[in-house]
Amino acid sequence: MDKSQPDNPDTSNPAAAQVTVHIDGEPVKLRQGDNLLEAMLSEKYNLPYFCWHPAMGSIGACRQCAVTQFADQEQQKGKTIMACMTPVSDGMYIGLNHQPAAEFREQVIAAMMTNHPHDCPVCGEGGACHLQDMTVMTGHSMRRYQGQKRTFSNQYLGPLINHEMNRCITCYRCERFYKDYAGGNDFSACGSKNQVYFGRQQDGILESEFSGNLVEVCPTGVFTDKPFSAHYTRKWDLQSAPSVCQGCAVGCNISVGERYGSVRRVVNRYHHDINGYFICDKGRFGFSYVNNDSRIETARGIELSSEFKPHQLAIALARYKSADNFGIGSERASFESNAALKHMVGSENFCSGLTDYQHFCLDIIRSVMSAKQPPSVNEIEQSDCIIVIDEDLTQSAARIALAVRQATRNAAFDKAEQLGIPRWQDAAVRTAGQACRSNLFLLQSKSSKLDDVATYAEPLHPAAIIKLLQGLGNANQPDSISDMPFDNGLASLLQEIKTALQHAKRPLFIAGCSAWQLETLQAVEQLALQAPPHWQFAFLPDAVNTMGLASLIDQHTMSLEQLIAKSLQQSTVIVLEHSLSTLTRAQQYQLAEQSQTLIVIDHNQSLLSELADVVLPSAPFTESDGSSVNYMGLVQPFFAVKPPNSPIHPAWHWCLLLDSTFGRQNLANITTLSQLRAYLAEHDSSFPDMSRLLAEQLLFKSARQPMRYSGRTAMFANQTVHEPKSPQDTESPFSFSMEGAGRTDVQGQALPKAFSWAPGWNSEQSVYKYQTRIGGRMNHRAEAITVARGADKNLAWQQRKSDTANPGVLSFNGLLIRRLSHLFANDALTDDIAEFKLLAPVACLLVNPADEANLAATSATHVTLISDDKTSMTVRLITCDDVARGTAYLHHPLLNLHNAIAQVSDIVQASSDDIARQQQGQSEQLQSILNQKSRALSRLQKRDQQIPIQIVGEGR
Amino acid sequence: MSLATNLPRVGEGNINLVQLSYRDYLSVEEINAIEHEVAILGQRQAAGIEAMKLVQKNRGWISDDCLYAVADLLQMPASQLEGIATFYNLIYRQPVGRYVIHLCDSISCHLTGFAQVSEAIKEYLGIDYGETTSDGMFTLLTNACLGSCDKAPAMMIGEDHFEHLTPQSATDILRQLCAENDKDELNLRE
Repeated sequence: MDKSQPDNPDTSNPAAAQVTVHIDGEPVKLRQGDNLLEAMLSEKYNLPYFCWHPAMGSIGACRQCAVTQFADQEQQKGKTIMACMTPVSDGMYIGLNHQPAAEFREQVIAAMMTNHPHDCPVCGEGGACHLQDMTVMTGHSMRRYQGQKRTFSNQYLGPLINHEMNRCITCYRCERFYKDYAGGNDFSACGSKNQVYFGRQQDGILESEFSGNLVEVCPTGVFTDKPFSAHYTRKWDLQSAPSVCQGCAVGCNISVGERYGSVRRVVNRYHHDINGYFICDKGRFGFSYVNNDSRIETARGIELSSEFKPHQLAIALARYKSADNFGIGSERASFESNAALKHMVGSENFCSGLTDYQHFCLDIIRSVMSAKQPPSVNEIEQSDCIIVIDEDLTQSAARIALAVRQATRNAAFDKAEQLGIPRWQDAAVRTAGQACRSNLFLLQSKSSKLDDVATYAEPLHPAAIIKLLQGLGNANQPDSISDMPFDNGLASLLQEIKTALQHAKRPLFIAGCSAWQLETLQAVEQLALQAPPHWQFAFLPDAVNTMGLASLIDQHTMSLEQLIAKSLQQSTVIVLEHSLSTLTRAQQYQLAEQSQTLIVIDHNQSLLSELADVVLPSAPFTESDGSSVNYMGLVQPFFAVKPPNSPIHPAWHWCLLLDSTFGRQNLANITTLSQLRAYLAEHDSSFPDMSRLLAEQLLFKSARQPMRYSGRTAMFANQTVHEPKSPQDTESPFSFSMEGAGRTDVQGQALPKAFSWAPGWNSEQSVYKYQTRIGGRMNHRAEAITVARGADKNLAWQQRKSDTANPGVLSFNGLLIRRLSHLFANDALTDDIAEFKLLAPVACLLVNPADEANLAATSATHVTLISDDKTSMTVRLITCDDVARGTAYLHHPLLNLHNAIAQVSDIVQASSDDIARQQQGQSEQLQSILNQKSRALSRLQKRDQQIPIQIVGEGR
Repeated sequence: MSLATNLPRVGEGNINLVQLSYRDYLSVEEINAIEHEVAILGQRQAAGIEAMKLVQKNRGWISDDCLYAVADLLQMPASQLEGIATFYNLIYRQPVGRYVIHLCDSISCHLTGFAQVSEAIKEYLGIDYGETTSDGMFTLLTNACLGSCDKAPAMMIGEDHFEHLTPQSATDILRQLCAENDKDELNLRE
């Protein structure tokens, strides 16, 4: 992670020699063995291409990257070659601007244009289109073709992706990404010749978790971002900021785009070690709760004008002053917000916002992490043997699942290397590799979308998984594993895994917390602590900033249960960006009723904010600066794409403001984020010094707005003729304007970019201009700051560990019922997004056919789960043998609002009334989602006319 | 793809969970014939083309249900099989007539009178390319090259090639096929 560390040997030829190639007469040093296109782009040449992709290699299909190769310095004619299919060799003579090659490139575009419609003005890709850029670059400025153009019917591909096949230039990148790279199997190239069609077999929702990448992979406007298109702005009118995805613990880097006060879209922001060129659909589309009706935009419970002064807040809150103040932190709040809260209330009064159970899990994760540094996503891709333990990665940390899928290709790459095939020769490597795969053992209780590349993927009972892990720990002892009920052949599986591990150079174990199976995690911990040094372990915690929160936990930190058990009659409880959905509804009410005052600081409404005495509006990640800590312990800053409208403030700022009333007055003189960070670094050993992350960059700002940002002086003209001052940002390396310091600072050091753009390169492909080389690191200074590993332990809950029941699973008639993990139905925040509601599975209970009898009469279609408090959930009963015997998976929207599974007391066959009600509810739900969607859209469009004039006070 | 990894979604409404099984759709003879091809080829998916040819021989064309059934039997995604079906011009994804005319429209045929032959056939049958006569006898398609450039113009009907075509000879062939068909039907009735 250190800057001085050399680039990972991720792409071809780690130790490749630099050789001299003459390009248009100029000698240039290129890496031997790279393909010429990649090597020339690494040297920042402008060479057009379509079918090549840095992560997917060359297939030589589009003929766009033609250059001339000469035999020697004297030769005049030379031959036309495809740069992407030609390996770099010493002493090559290449003509890039040689007339015949340039003409050839222009004619390739001309041929594409015979079918490409002239609809750029209405196309969502316009202004950020690789095809436009390449057309301009080759100089093809006149259309001479008069004939008919080929036309297609488009498909409905679900609520996320638009399809406009007429624009297709047949580069095949969509199919190569969707099918070959991401393993989707509901997408293909159909037809032949001039009639090639890319799409599904029939209309329907794209099944892959990575379908959104088609938007960026497609060089033109065939696949576009549907929600973005519905409320559209050209890229040149988007104000952007670098950000970090809040969807899971991987912490993919994203760039967020805003216009007229609403957030419009998210695109991938290249990070060499983490997301590379791709993010999952939750990351791309899971931001829009920041635009929802459910946003909290004013304070509730107190009288507060929008332009309040700190002392006015203190006066308004004075009546809530109480003897004791407790703060509840959150996994989704920023690192700074959690730390500020902890320092405000004092560590004795700080509750992590985690349940006992989550504490136990976290304790294990930190113990493993202190022994084994988790590998980056890039390093995961290098593993030659992966064992996934009881976690459906495709649903809980989809980007990691994509990396695991790539890792299974390592055996094929090795084979290709033996045959002398360069790694970038995509088609040849795939032909040579065929079914040759690196080992991937999926020890899971339900099949997943990685099964197709797995060595072993049969569903196993959790108890069997634990047995296997214990067996792996006893490397030297004879195998004493006995077959479990339902799971035959465990011993041979154990042997198979052991053999695979012996031969592996970089074996990797991946586990997570979504299965709620503490015993499994304990078994992994034991294995990790005694594992050989080259075994790697990656643990995936629940949420975006779990590791940041974890590093703040000390011996005083309380769990939620410990806080609730306290007498809170004289106390104020401050909840930081947390809906407490891990508690049952009864526990949520208990907390609200018990505490003298409940203050909720949050950006979206929840059941808890309804119960609170005071609600203070906080800024979501799109409106506040902060940082989050990913599963590797890497601290990643994110930046506001727009300033919040008062009285909305970042949560850490609320903590500073509340300090005088509810805190210990330690934070009295702090008003800015950098002051807060400096204070925390000085006073909290667990908070890293982040000054080097930002200090120098603050002087040389990059612009958040592109150079063509239109309407800067006229945007507010319908409200006031006075041009408002643009918001000042003293706390980040970015300005809320078109003005920036340029590309480099005074020392020639590259500056970070708020969005990816380069002259002549308007699309996201422009990122190569800012990489050290293709597929390498970004060229701007990127300090890698990590949180301290290892942990103080809270002994109080440590002792309670043994007798705490697992609240996240339900045992019923010998059946272990778990919550179903699903990318679009994983948390309460993103559940509120209309598109995600459509993509979520129907309420259901998945069981093995052999277990069906334990729940209901055979051929029952629905079951009803009855809770302690006599509420009930009717769900569809789905039987399939992709679920291990003895386990079942439950999905119901309620489970993300509160811990409903803990209260289920009985499961019965659903009555016909229940079924009718459930189906009625389902159709109503569908209708209400569609209404929500159109309502939200018209509200946002209306708001575009009344842009809030962003008055930026000192508060940012 | 298994049910557990591809659950019905809220946005799809109250859809039925029944999945098409090849056993409900293909005959035992078809299944056996396809399995025979699989045995020869080793990999199940490799039998895609042969399987569709076999089914098409019995049923005239590959309907969506045929496609799903064959994909199910070969344990491959329907989209992938669709890619194969639409790539090859001898797999028909729409109903076709009893005789499918593949009239070669490559350059040699163009030089030797394709246009006149094409006009004569269209006029005789009263249909354009991609259409089927109302009596269900003929479907007219073009073909990129039949490999008969030395004997152009050429066309293919079923497994027969017809070369050195003229407007007269082409229509004669069609007339003859009609007559044979009538005779067949007569025989069948008797």
